[in-house]
Amino acid sequence: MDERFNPFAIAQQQLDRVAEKLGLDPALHELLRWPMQEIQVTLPVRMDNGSTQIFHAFRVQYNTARGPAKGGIRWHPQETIDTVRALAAWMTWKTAVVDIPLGGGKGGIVCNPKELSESEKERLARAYIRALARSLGVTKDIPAPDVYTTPQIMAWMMDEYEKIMGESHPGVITGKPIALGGSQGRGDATARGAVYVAREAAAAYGMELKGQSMAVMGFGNVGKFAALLGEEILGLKLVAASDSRGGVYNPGGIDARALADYKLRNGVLKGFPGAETLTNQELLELEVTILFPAALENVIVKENAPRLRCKICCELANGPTTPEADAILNDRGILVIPDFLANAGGVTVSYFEQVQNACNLYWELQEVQWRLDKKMTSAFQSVLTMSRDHKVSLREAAYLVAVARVAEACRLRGWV
Amino acid sequence: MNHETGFSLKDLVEAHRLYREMMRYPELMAEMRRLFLSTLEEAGIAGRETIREEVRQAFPPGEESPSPEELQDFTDSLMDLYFAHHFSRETIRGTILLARKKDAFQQLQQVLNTEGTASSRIMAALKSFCQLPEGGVPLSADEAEGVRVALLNHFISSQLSFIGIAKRHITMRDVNDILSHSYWSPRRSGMIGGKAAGMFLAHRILMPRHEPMDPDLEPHLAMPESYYFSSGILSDFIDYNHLYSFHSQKYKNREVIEDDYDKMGELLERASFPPDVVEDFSAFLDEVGEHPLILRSSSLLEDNFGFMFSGKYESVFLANQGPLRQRLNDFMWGLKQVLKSTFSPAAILYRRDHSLLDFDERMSVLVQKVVGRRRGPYFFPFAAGVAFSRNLYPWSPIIQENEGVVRLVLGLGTRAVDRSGPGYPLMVPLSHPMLRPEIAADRIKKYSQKKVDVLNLEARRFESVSFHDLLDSLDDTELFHAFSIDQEGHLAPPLFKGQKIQSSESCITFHHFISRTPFAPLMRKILLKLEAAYGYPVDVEFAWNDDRLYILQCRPLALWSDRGRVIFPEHIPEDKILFTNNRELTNSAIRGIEYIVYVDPRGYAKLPSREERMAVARAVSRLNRLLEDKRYALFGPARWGTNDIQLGVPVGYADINHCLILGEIAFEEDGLVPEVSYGTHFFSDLVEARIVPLAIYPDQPDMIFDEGFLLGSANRLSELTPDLAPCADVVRVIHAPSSTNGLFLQVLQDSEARKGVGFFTPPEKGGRQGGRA
Repeated sequence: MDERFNPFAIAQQQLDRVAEKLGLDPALHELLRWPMQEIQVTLPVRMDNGSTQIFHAFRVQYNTARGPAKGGIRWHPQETIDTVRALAAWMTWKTAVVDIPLGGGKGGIVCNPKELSESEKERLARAYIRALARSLGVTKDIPAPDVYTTPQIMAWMMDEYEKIMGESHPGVITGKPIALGGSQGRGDATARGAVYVAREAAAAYGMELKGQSMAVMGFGNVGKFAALLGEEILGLKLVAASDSRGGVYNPGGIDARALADYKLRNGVLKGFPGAETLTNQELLELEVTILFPAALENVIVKENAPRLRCKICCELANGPTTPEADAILNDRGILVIPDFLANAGGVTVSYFEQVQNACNLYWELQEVQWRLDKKMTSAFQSVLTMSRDHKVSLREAAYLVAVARVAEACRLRGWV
Repeated sequence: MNHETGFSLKDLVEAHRLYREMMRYPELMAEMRRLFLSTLEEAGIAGRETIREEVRQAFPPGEESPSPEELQDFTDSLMDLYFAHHFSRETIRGTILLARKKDAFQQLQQVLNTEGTASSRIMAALKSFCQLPEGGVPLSADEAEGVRVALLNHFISSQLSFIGIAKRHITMRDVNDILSHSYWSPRRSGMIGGKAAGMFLAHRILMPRHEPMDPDLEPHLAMPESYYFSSGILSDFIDYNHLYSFHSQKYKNREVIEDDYDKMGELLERASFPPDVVEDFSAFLDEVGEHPLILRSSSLLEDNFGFMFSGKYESVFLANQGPLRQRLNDFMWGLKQVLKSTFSPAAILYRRDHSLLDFDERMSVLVQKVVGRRRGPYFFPFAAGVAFSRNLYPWSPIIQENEGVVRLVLGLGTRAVDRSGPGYPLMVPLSHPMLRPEIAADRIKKYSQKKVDVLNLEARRFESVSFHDLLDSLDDTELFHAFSIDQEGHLAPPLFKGQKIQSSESCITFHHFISRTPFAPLMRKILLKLEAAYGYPVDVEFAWNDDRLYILQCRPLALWSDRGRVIFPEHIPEDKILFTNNRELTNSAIRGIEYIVYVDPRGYAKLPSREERMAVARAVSRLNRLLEDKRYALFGPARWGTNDIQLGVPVGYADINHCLILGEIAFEEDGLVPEVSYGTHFFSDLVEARIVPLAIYPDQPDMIFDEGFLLGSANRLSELTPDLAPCADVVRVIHAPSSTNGLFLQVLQDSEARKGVGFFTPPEKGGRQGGRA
């Protein structure tokens, strides 16, 4: 694979820059550049037509210095070990930046779930757990849903694990259906986490948010909650939102709940009464206090970055800003809350699920939200302090905080 | 009496009884005795000679010679006696019935074969025949077939392709049944059209009159109550109002046809039906009562295989509520709408494209009680849609193409046959009914049906309502069958009937409907049976209500005839490639494309007003005419042919019918995933016109899309037609040879290998640039 597009090579390069800035010990740096453990398994699965199909699968436990590995399981036809390695590395930094006692991991099965029946999916899920059970567990590695895996698949996996162990282990996997030990508050966790850090960011930079404007690019599951919670928690006024078919704009404000209801009924935002239409590009360039890019990767690029007029860009999507655009936004004084901090609410509530499973005591929704607020607030404060101390952007600061925390754990354990 | 024959007193009584029975049909005496004799001969009991010999013995020579009448009378009586002695009363009744049948049949044959016989006489003769009880000794198969064909030809359709199938399944009694539910003009002959009969034919294939019915189908298959209004009624209407000029409309040029079409509507508005016909309508409406109706076009040309006229002719829903006078007015309005569509620009251009213009097209109307029931103010069936015996869109290799596919919707099936947004019908591949292309809850929700087509009985109109507003109208079983519930990302069907379904968390997945009702296996079996009987893949419209499956329409499916493998060149230089694609492919090779019309999806998405978007649609239509004799490809945003301007360029068949390729480009940020159009009327049009639809996903990994070429090449729009210059930002016309040093676009699509490419290549030698597909 061309190294420029190899996701693991990119992840290593990102680490290299941070290591240099931190003056990381070479051995420690080298340790963090590689997964600590990789497992590759081959899974024979009986198909509905009686044939047997062989699937290849991975689990990467990137670093477990801060706790058991944590990360999703992807089912994708183009899955590669390098993609899984890179994502496992990013999980390591993400759990570290929000300071939850977990390491980073990721798994994948090379398969096309669109071609599998429900029973084939179940057999594949169970086969994966049978092959990896010895390496999983609440004290070793806790998977979760990811690309093309669902709460139902998590439920099958948990069941298979418990059958093998002969005892109850709900916390072996998160993202389960609520009826099987899933946590309250998962639905809006990612957006809620982002809203909390946006609140902290505004306070840190002396910005008043009440009555100010926000725009949401990507009014899907996450974006919709960002708009609703932005209104509810921060008192922001939604002025524009968009989905894949374009957006709506009303400088006087759009009722986020009415818009969510309209989208539910009509499948699109366009045509929402009392709002003008606008394109996704136009939305990005609106003069608003907070912009939530919640849709896709690489939408803020060097071409449009000079035209962005938001004060805070809170990255709900993964990788919405290219590195060139990021530099431009920094130069222009736009505060970018980086994705792996802004959208860490999801993994945090995943961790809460595991904690509740372990205690066999389940929290009320308010308790989940209160604890999430505390975690996200504290995470942001650490990043802010790092940013101010080292005079770096929040993105760089987040990396510095994360890598420093993992490095410290490695050192304390006496690994290096 | 010759005692050697052994006849008893009881035989004499039986012979008398037989004679009394025969005397009820004195005109059939000779025929009955002919049958008696042949039966006696076949059974080896007595032949003509035996009887003669007995007669001779009864009148020995030397005695006084009987008169010929006496001799005949004696012979006949003896024959009756023999028959009464040797056969049961049941056989006797059957033989007399056969004589009556033969007679009625002969009369039917006679009226059918006499030129110029009035339809009413044929109907009367058929009715007399059909009034005879069924069963007994059958008529000669050859003769029966001849009469069936003549009846089909006279009353239903003269199209040979239709007759060829129908004669094997539709009996004389079926024709009589159809006629007993049909309405005719006293002044004009006419037919009821094969489309109307197609529904009946499908039912006969599935529920044969003389064979036991498939036990799987029997409990569920039902026929919608249908009535047939012959083409003579609308011809008579045209006569009565002197609207003869309508028929020459088709020879005018396109602009005039379009201009005249609105005026036609005004003329029709003022025109009226003859009083006797109105009385018939009134009696009909009185009979059917206040039940919603659909008026379906059934034109004579629609019966041709290969010409589906999909959506060209109108179908009109009527709520049919209120006082009779009001319902009558609505009914006549509906008939006029159907008639008007015969002369619509889209229908005439379609006929022009398929060389069907000179045919004297006539329109009959199939009126059906809409399948469904009242739910709150609305009337609709639980589910409906369209099913195809071939799945031309197997999005996974495990899907069996020959087991068919269903486009399924909640409510009226209009949402499945039209390309209307928002939301999507559920595609059910019948070989793997539970397989769907989405995995995660949010994707499943995104690609699910959002609106439901219904009849609002209170407002007396057709409406599309959000499914959220129908949750209270559906019963527990229907909710259980149609919906899945999303709980924090876990999308699952309800666990039990009566489980609360909250609108914000639910979406239409038909999970339990497909997994727990016989619908999918039933539909698969039906499609297999219909395809076998038609000898051709079929396309079926259906509705499902209260555990019953109604076949509403059945016709041959439009297919690409050329499904052979497409050969790709070994190496195509990357700088010559305009695009690559790997989804929704149809085997085809189109060469020598000279013009590319590109509607820039990003530019189109930015157009702020409906007017500006309509202007783009008009420009596309105009270019279609200007490039009529050129080889051109049309590319633009998904979805072409939508009737929702928010979702794509709202064009119809007539606006794009000259292009060779219709490409849909789906940029991720502007609306990924062009809807699978397969199964819509629009798609059928493309197939028949041999226009290749293709979908391009520029943002997918490893796909090539040279947007720079399309946006950077010289735009010839203003040269072609200066008045379209205001659209030049969005609509671009590229002359390929001028922009590529003499190269033409070639497009290859291989559905098996799942790869497609459009690239520039020198023109082929010999000037001709190959066929369409």
